[in-house]
Amino acid sequence: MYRAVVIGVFVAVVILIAADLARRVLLRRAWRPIREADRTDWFPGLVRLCVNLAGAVCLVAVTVTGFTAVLANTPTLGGYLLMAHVTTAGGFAGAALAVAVLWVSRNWIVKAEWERVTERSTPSATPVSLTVLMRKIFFWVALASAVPTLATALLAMFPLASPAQQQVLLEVHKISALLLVVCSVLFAYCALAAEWEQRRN
Amino acid sequence: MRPSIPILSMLALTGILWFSGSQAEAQKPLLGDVPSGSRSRPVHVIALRDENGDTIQPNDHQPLPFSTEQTCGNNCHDVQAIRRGWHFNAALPGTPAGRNGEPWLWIDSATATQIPLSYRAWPGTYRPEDIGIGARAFALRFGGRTPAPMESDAADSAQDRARWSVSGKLEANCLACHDRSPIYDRAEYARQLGLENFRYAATAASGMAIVTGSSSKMPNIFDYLLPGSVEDSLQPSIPQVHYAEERFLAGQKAPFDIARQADSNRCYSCHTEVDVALPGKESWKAGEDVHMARGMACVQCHSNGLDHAITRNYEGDPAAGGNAFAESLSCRGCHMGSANGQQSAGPHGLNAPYPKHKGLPAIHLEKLSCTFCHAGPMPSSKTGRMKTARAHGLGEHNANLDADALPHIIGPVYAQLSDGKLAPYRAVWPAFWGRMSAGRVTPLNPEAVRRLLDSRKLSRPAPTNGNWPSVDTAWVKQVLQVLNQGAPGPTEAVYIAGGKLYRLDSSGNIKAEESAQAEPYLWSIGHDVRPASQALGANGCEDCHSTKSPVFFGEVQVDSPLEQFGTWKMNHFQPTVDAAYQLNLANSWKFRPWLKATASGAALLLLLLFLGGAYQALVGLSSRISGRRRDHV
Repeated sequence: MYRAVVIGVFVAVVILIAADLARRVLLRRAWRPIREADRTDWFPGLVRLCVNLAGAVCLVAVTVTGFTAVLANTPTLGGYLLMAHVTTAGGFAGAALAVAVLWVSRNWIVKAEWERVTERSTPSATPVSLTVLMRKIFFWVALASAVPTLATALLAMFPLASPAQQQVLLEVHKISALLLVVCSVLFAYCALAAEWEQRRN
Repeated sequence: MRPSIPILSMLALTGILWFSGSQAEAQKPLLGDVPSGSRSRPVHVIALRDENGDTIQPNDHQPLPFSTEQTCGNNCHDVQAIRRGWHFNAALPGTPAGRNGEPWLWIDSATATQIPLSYRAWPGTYRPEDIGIGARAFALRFGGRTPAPMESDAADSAQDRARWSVSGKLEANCLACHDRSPIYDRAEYARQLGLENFRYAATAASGMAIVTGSSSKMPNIFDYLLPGSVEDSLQPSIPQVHYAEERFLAGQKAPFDIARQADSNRCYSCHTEVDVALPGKESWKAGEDVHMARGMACVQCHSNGLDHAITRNYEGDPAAGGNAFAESLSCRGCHMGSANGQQSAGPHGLNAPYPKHKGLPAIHLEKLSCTFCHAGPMPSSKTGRMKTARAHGLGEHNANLDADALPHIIGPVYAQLSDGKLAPYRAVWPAFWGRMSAGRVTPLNPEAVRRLLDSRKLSRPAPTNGNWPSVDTAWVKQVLQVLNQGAPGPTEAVYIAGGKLYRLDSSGNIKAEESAQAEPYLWSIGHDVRPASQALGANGCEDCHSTKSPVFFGEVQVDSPLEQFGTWKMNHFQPTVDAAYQLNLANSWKFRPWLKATASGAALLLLLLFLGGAYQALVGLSSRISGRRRDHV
């Protein structure tokens, strides 16, 4: 069941990104970029680049080690793969925090975006970039799912949960990790797309 | 004159009635086999019977010893059914062997022999009759440490067969387990067997009588019913029974303190196990199984019905035979409740504590047996040695209390056997002389080897402490040369010891090889069970997941007269455990505190960031809603 969901979600994400890319390429002339509202950068460019790269690498590593067993239909994640997953997870935890700190200032949802979210029309005078808005939404969902993903793994490492409770923790970890990976990938895609939009503007 | 049809009919009818009557008689349950259900102890004031079924009067002239099978079996207990029970059925054909158990260890220090024997088909043991050890030799050596019956078998020599009629056969000894009397003396039982007083042993042990004399001194023609027929010089050694008349009640019946469920003290007679350092002055330091310390008895788990098929309490035990109640008498059955993980009251309604196993990933319950963490002595970097009642005669007269006395039982060895789970085992390294043919070694009869070495003055004096003799490979070479002289057919003499097979090469030099038959024989450690606070893991994951963990990286002591200080890696006994992976995992554990700190800090800060964002969202929503209200106003 979980394996089917993972495959379905991963395929959906790939299709979504491919479709958006196609849309952007095909409608390039008609498309009018909008400048990101309230853009505040707290960190210099090189730091941003390094942190983003580290976050991306750790995300790929933890995703590959975590989902290989699921995709390969192995009953449990164990052995060297588990060891690699746990090792990369430590790096991922640090990198995720760094990325979150780096991006949080740019992902506060501003008034115009709230209006876009809560109203069907865009009554605000300030134009809102949908790409930026989606980036912000995926950022916050990824942030929200990172907490249970880390917390469940942490709780399992302390003498707190019985084997049956650990199974529950594992299930929560698997679901929140899937959400985290999907939202992180879409956040990264939206961030790149928004950056591209800004440069075209 | 031809018989008329009515007469034939009457004869046929009589025959049918007689046959049906005898069938009903045969199926009629015996008095003791249909308990009323009363929990009180049944009174046993019974007439003693000799092996022919005749009652015994204590003041008879030259009274005979009583027979347990006749006394207990006469109209009361189905002894033939009981003899198919676990303690009695080892030699019966078709008996499921079950998982490996403690073997009988035949030792002979002079020939550096230590060989595991069993009538059960346990891999790694040898059936006594297959190596020329007859039932008589077996009974003389081990009969005192089992309640099992023994009688002449095909491996007995003509001399041995003649001796059985002198000593009598060894009956199933019901009293060994069921006699609760404080004067039942199982050491006396073993002593009587040493004197070849097989038919007298139970009587002597019961305290009902004193037995004097020794069948071992009687000639082959000795008839116990006509004891006076031997020559005068042997008269003082004739086995005689002197009943204690004060033990008999009116009617010449004797009261026995018989318990339906055997007292644990009786079980300990044959099933005691102790660290080699703890017999003697240090015995007061010995621990106890947590179940016993909590007031339980052995038979509450190792239980049986009238068939005496005592459960061994591991999952898949054939003694349970599909009986759901018997199958539930296991660690999981009592402590883990029903299959769906819900706690139950357990098979006896004792409400065994449900293990919390806090912090233990579920995979441990799949890969490890319960005993891995909870049974046997705590492991150390190198295996220790233990003594058992059956191997060392603990509790018998003149038992050798020296820590180095053979046989050498090693443990705990953490190994994977048939079910693939890691569990603690005892181990014994086989050491014997044999003949190899087509890669298979058949042990030589140890007594024949002893006689041969004695004749060639090659047997070694046994050390007084009962340890291995002082020998070397030169001695092994000499013995192999002797054994190869006149070897039958294409066989060659070999010596197995300490995990190696020694043989002579084409130029007559000795060489050592690997051999599966030289591997130690392993059997499970089920006791003493340690509670959670003393289990592996009570001090944290590092009990096992550290680079010095004895369960993965410990050393198993090699025991051999040729090499007493060698070791094998524990991992040798764990075929599906990747030692390199376990080492890497153990090394990675050093960074686990860092991982915990990093992940905890990151999770906390991410939560704070998220809460900050959520706060901002709430403020935004709130202002938006209040703004809309103002618009309406």
